Amino acid sequence: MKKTTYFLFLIVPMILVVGALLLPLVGSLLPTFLQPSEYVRFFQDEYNRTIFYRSIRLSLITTVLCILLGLPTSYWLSLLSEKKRRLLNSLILFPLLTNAVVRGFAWITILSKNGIINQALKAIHLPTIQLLYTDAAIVIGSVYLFLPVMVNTLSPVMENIGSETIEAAHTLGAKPVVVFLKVVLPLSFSGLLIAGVMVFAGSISAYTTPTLLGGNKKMMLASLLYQQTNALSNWDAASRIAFIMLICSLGVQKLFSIISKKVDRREAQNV
Amino acid sequence: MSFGELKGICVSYDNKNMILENLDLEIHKGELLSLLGPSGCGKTTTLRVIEGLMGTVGGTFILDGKDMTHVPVHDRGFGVVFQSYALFPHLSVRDNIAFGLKMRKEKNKELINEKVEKMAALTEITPYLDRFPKQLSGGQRQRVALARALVIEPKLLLLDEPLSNLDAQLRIQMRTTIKRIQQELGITTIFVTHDQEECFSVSDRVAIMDKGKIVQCDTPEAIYHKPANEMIARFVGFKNFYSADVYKDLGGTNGGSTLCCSRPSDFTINAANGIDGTIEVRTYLGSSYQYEVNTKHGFFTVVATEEKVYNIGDEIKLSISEDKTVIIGE
Amino acid sequence: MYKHRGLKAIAILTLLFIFVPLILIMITAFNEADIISLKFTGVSLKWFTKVFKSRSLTSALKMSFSLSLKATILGIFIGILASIALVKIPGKLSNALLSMFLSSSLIPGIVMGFVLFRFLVVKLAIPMNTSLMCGHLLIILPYSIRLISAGLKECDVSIEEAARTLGCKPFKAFVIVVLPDLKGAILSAFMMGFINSFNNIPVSMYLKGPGMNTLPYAMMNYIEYNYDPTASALSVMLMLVTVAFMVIIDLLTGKKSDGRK
Repeated sequence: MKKTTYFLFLIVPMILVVGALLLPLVGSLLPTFLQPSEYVRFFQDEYNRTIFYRSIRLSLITTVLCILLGLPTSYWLSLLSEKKRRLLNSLILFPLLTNAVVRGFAWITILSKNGIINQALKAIHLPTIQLLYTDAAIVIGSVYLFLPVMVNTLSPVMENIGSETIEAAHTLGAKPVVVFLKVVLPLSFSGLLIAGVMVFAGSISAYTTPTLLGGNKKMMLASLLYQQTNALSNWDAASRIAFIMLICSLGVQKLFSIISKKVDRREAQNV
Repeated sequence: MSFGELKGICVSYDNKNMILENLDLEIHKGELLSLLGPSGCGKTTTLRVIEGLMGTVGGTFILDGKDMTHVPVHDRGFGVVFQSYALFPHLSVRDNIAFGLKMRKEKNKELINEKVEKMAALTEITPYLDRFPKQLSGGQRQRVALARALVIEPKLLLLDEPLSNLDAQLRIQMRTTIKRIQQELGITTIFVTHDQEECFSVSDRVAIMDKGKIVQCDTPEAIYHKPANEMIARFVGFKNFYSADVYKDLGGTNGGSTLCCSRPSDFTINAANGIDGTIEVRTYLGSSYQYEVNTKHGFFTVVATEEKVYNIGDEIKLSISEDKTVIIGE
Repeated sequence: MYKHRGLKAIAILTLLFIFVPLILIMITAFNEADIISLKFTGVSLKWFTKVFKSRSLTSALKMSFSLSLKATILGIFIGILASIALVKIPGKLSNALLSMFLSSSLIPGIVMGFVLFRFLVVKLAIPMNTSLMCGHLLIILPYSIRLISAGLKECDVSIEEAARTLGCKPFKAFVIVVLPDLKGAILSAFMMGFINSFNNIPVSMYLKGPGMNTLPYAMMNYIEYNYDPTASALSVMLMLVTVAFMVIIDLLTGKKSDGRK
């Protein structure tokens, strides 16, 4: 078969990806740059600004929490025997494949006004507390959503370090904490960067979880975008939000993948 | 009293199947002691017990009069060279070597530098000090690993199959280097390998292991000439095993129910008496020929020089002198 | 040798955090009590029957299942063709095309839903059903192309060539020799594609026509207006489907790798 014939195989995906998605995406976003002042106005609006800063803030907190929990967990997993490690890794994969509504609902049953925590508080005659529709609820839900991503991304990175490298550090006199700081952390840093950005990009553009756990009171960018289109049919405003979201997710992701390659390349040159 | 001693060491993952069972091993000061055996015999496990990377369910490990059994790895201060070298990829060669010194809270940078450079000179890696492990060849990495292990002035140097990732030529060169450095520093060294030739060429003493036990521990010469059992005999190049009756037919005198063995090159061909046989296979080994000889007692593998070449189908007589035969018992 | 107590504590915390909520859902789904509660008053399957009695949930389930199944099969077929092309096309161009095809997975779902809605539905007035199918194909394609082209690259090229030298025509050689070797990749692509299409909310939300609902969206609506263990029961059912998927894939691909060894 001629090489050109193979391009025929690409027609359908080309039409879908380029024709239906990428070109229309550019087509929606480009006109918004004709009125850059509208972007300024977007950020001058108190309501928008609150939502924007909330999105950034909560996504950053989510990322930090995912790192704090996920990094030690994936390191611990890498120290286990292969059999245990594979079992736990596939267990951790399970929530990733579970519907976000199910996962959000799980936290609703725990955090809501009549939820499990408040039922427990009532049972010991303590006043109930508002947990659902708070920033904290969104963070919990987002960490819950992305912690498995973090662990699954870091696990192969940790396994790559190799048990002999860690043992070598021990034989040279390094205590477990020192090994973690001086060997494991530097060797997993670029992986950690990528995983962290993945979590940040994911949580800043998530729709389902913040909507379920934050409600209308604590909106995030994705719900704002939906509100602009669904309730207000304001295409231009929605396009601007879409662009901001793209910058915050895809843009940040690309930026950090360049940075992490730079970090790696510097090693590669010296290495 | 000896310098170091493993006594009654037991290792088990599940408390049922023993990986090491009541293992005893003496370590003499300044020697190069090898642990030799097929894979799965427990030699690496023994080394890991000494390193402190493997927990035991029983037994003690004494070194220099101090009980090391429960000392954690990072406080043992042994130099370890790993099979994969396990160099830190994010650190330069210099920092790799200095790692152990920094872990010892050595603050004096000049002293660290001095020690690193001295060790680099000894292991001949001075030109590569500012490179990173990925930029080095296998042999160079090996030397860095050795320097990193030695710079902390360890009481014991432990080498786990250090040559297995190198090609044949480099292997011979490296084992000479290791021996030279070991002698120069007079450091007590334990060397794990499955390569008999490599092991015998450098060791002062060899502990041969099988199924979690040490089956013979002696000098290479003693093991070579007097293997303790059939497994070891096969390991050191004995190919012909036969009963005492056959031994008599070959010209020996010792009787009983013992097992005898001999090397292919130890036979005499066509002496006055012996066993009749027919040559069935001949292979050329360079300067000598190896024959498979069919006799009424089965096949014998015999090696003879080029002086007299026999052909396939030739009838010959095989005999052996008593000093060439090893009786290894049952 | 080391106990790593601190590490272990954090890891256990993580595992508990991940699994306790799912376990709580399972408990409440089987609890006979009328509210979502851990106070167990008796085992009951009534919430499961209630799922099937709800018209909105069952019709959404049917709709989601048929949509995702059709879209995944179509997506796998497109993915196989595209992967063949990507393997045959020279390196640099092929890599550029691949990363372009994968780019749709990097675009936030809500942005994708919005753009598709604005372009396909509003501008081109393409029927909702077709638009929805396009949206789901775009969800599935990155998984299908990535997994299948990776599988194809790992495939031994020489087996196809061997078949050709033995007299096989190119297409037949691909179907009888290469395709069986790709089984694992295709199965994983099918699982990932189906699950991600089935679970998607933002794209479906924009492109579903009036009166039709995909299951996750219907469930979201249900939760908004009803707070009872029916949703728990539905969650348990969805989790069981996920587990079944994982086990099937593990068995099928696991066997294959054993056979190779």
